[in-house]
Amino acid sequence: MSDSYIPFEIQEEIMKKLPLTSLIRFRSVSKAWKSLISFKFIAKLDNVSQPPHQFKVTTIWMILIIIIIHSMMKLSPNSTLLPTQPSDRGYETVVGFGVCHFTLDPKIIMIPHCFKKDIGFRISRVDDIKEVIDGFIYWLASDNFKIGCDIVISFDLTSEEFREIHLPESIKLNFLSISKLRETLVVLEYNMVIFSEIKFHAVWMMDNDSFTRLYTIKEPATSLDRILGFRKTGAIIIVRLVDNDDNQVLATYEPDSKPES
Amino acid sequence: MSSSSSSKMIELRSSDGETFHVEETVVLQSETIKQMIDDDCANAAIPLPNVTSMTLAKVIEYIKKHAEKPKDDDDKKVAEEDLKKFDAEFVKVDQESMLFDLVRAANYLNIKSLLDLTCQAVADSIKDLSVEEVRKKFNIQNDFTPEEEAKVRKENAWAFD
Repeated sequence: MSDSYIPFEIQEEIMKKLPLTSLIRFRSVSKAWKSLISFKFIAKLDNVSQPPHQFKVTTIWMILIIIIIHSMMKLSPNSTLLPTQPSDRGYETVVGFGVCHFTLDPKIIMIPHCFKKDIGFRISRVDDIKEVIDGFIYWLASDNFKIGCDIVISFDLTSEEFREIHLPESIKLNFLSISKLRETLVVLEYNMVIFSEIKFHAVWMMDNDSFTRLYTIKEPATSLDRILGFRKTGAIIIVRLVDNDDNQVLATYEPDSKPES
Repeated sequence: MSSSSSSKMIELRSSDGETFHVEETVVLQSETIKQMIDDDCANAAIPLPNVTSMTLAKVIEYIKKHAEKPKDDDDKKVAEEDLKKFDAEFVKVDQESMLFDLVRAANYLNIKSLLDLTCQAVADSIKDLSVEEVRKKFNIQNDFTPEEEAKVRKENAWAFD
């Protein structure tokens, strides 16, 4: 036993303190290290049968990689981070990160994808806009080749299953974003009707896989730039344009807690 | 803990036979020693055959500092800052073997905060090392076949872009 001998149980403690990129690199230190830092490929190109409630992985061209670092980090179930993203490979990669509620295993989900029409993807586009709420990661996605997004994809961090939640017909063609309000997913709809005097924006709240309009925001045209998020009270934090020189201010919008009928 | 016990001294003996007298309230930060005291095994000097006197002196310096109690809330903030500075300085040891000794001692004595602190220091020191350097540092045998190792490295490739 040399001076530098560190028992494996302590090596494990040290591993817990390493940053993600180092951890992934150190998988090749030894078999024991690799077994603690494991990757899981849950779907690969094709030839994968389709379990119930899961994506039609045979028809989409995605590789989903879940990396589970077994009980490695103590993180709150809703924390997010973005690890290194390969960016120079001719396609965009969407990365999600969350923590399983039960095991506290952190999981990274990578969705490399591309836009090629002729292969006929089921999901042609997954936005990098995501939210991690209550054990699920949500992304906006599109299953056609239009610009807008028309579905929300959810990934259950515990069961490792994907699901699609369809958005209401009426909002599909608008610019969308997602956010969270009181631990529930909300979809932000930016109405860009060009000939309309008033731009209106709406907040849709997810409820049992469907969306209901929570409130609309009527603002004079051009003054609302984007919605940043929500306060606990439900007030919306927005970015407003204050003049024509693109100067912006932060503001809150009180929706009077009046749900739309 | 009753206040009368705060003055009670516990004797610790290092692997090289040196004895240290530490207040019981201070030494209770070690779960291992706490267990011994609870089991009434601490009437004579507690032998610590895995810890050298040099390492034990450092450990005692650490637990003494961490046993200091601030008087009021204002003091508390200052004390927290002070403790942070102390911790940062504490792990700046000249010899890496000393840091490893401290990690092992913290593990053996079961002092959670010291183990966290020293493991973090080791992690910081290895995070930018190559796989080979890490193996060397921890005396880890590479038990992969060349093919297996190539495969793992390929899987990891995306992390290095």
